[in-house]
Amino acid sequence: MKILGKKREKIIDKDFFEISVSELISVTGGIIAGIFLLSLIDKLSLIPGLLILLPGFLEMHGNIAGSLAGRLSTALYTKKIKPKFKKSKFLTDNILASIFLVLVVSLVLGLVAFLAVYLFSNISDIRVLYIALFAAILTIILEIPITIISTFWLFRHKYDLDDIMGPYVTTTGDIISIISLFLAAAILL
Amino acid sequence: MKKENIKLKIIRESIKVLIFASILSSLGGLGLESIKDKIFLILPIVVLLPALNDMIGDLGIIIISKFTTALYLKKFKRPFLKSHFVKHIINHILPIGAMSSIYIALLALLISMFKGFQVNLLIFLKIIFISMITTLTLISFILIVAILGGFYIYHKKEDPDDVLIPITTSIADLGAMLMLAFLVGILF
Repeated sequence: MKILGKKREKIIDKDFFEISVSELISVTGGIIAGIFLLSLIDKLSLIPGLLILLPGFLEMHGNIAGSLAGRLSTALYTKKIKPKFKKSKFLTDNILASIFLVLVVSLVLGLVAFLAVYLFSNISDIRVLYIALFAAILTIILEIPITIISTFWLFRHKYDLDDIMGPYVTTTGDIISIISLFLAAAILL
Repeated sequence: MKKENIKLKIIRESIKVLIFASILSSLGGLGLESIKDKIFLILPIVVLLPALNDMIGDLGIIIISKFTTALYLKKFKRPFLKSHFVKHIINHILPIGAMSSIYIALLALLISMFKGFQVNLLIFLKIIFISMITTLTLISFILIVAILGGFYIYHKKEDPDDVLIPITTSIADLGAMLMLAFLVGILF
C-alpha cells in the first residue's frame, strides 16, 4: 500500500480502502434513489405531507431489512438455518414479524404526516395515509425476498455479511422505497 | 411454545425503537416540507438527499463500532487525543466523508444538468458547500455522541452498539434534513 506523509503513518491502508469502496457503492446507490426521487417531485408537490413521510419511510425500511439481514446472518453463522429459501419456522417467523413491523410503522408514519399537515396547514388530506400503506405493501413484496435471497447468496459465496449487508440493505431499501412511493402515488392519484 | 415466541420477541424488541426512529425522521421531513417550494427548484438537492442520508448514517455506524471495539479492547490508555480511535477518525472517516460529499455533490449536479437544471459557478459552489458542511458537521456531532454516550453506556455495563447505532442513524436522518433545510433557506 502507498505510504503518505510520515514514514510509518499509512493513510491509505486496508481500512481506508475498504471503507472508501463500500461508501462509494453505497452513495452511488443513494444517488440512483435520488434520481427516482426526481421523478416523484410532481407527486410530492401535489400531495401534502408526502415530503414529511419520505425520510421516516426510508429510515424504516433500512432498519427493518437491516435487522432481518442481521438476524439471518447470525442464524447462518451459528448454523441455525441453511442458506436455502425453504420453509422453516425461523424464517417464517422472521418474515411475518418484518411484514407486521413494516405495516404498523408505515401506518404510524402516515398518521404523523397526515396530522402534521392538518395541524400546520389546516389541510385534511387522507391520501398520504393510503400512500404510506400501499407503498408499504409494495416494499414488502419486493424488499423482504430481495433481502433474504441476497443474504443467502452472499453467505454461500463466502462474503462477510456483517461488513456488506448494512450498506447494501440501506441502499436497496432507499431505491425500493422511493419506487414504491412513486407507484403508490401514481396509482392512488 | 418457545418457537411461537420468536415472532413476538422480534416485534416486542423492535417496535418501540422503530416508531421512535421513524417519528424522529419525520421531524426532519417537516423541515423539508417547510422549504418544499425552494427544494423543488433546486434539483441537485433532491438528488443529493438519499445519498447524503445514507453516507452520514454509514459513517456514523463505523464511528460507533470502532469506538465500541476500542472500549472493549481497552485501547484508551494513552492520552485520548493520541489514541488510535482519534487517529482513525482524522485519517480515515473525515477525509472519506469529505471526499464522498464532494463526489455525491458532483454526481447530483451532473444528473440535474441532464434534467435541464441550469448550473453556474455560484450554484456549483453552493451545492458542494452544502454537501460538505452537512457531512462534516454531522460526523463531528455523531463523534461527540459516540464518545460521551459510549463511555456512559459502557460504564453502565451495557453494549454501546445496541443503543448508539439506532440513535446515530436517527441523528443522521434528522440532522441531514434539518441542516439541508437551514442551509438551503440561507443560501438560496
